[in-house]
Amino acid sequence: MSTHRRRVARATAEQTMKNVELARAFLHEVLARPSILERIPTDARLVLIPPSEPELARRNLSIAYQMVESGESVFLQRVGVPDPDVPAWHETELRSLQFQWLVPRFPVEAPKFSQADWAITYERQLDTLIVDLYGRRQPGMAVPINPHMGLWVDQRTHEIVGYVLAQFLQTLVSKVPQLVNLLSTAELVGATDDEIAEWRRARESKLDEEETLLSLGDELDRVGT
Amino acid sequence: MPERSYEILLNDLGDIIRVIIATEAGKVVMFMIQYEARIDGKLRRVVRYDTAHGFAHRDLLDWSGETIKKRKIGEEISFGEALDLAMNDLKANWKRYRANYERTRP
Repeated sequence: MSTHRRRVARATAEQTMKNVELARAFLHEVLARPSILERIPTDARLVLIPPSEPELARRNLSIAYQMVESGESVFLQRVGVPDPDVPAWHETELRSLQFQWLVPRFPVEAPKFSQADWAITYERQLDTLIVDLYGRRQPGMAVPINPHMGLWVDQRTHEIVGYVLAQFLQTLVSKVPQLVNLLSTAELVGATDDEIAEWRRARESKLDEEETLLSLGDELDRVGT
Repeated sequence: MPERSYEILLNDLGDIIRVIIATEAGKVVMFMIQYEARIDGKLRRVVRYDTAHGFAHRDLLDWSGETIKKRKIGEEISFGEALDLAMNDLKANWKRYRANYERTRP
């Protein structure tokens, strides 16, 4: 069989089509805001990471790992991420990251075990909740691990410093009700008065912080599979 | 007019989109998009879209790197429109372009 008659695997074709779409979205972002390129060195190899397609993100990350393993320099570029209304989040969220061996791991320092010590932000418009388990908002990158959950990974140390929870009220809380407790200490952005009142009622209820913490690791993993 | 070049990974074959962008005073003033297929371990230029001379063009290339077919795909259109035309064409035809390119192998 001649080379050109070799068929492209279906999964490869699908990955290509989706990455062409991601490239389109990325380049539109560049056209709208060329300053994006200031964070990416010229001649960089980019692996695009979508915010809401974990399977494509996994496949792309897998290739990025292989490239890094063979000594190539790779940049991860998140594409299609809406701008948040949270200034602190905006300032610290990285969309371009030089990829080395990104092996997310928990820091040696244990996370805070009291919810009151976490830095939690909920943005209503995106229905997204960020939980910083160390109570400090440090630069990092969201690495999707299931359709509703990402790890917030420190770009320098590869340490997992928190979680990013997507479709928080719409999906997660309906499946894991105790997670609503996270809103009791969250900074709420863009929520209506009625919504805040409803969440405050939840805040007044007795919270089982340990259960909430464990829910993050265990139950969300189950929800996402 | 500073130019920047980037490779965007497309698939597990190692194919890429190469993008060259020039900016001036904080605005994009030129860009070129090129689909390159990794064949026999080497990146090879298969199709190129550019916005030179006020037109958007598509060039199909052969194994030697020569343009074998040049086609105007837009006139007096914005960069965003040219980008959409290029990406639509690539999405619809990349497999065919890749296969046809391999047929030009000596």
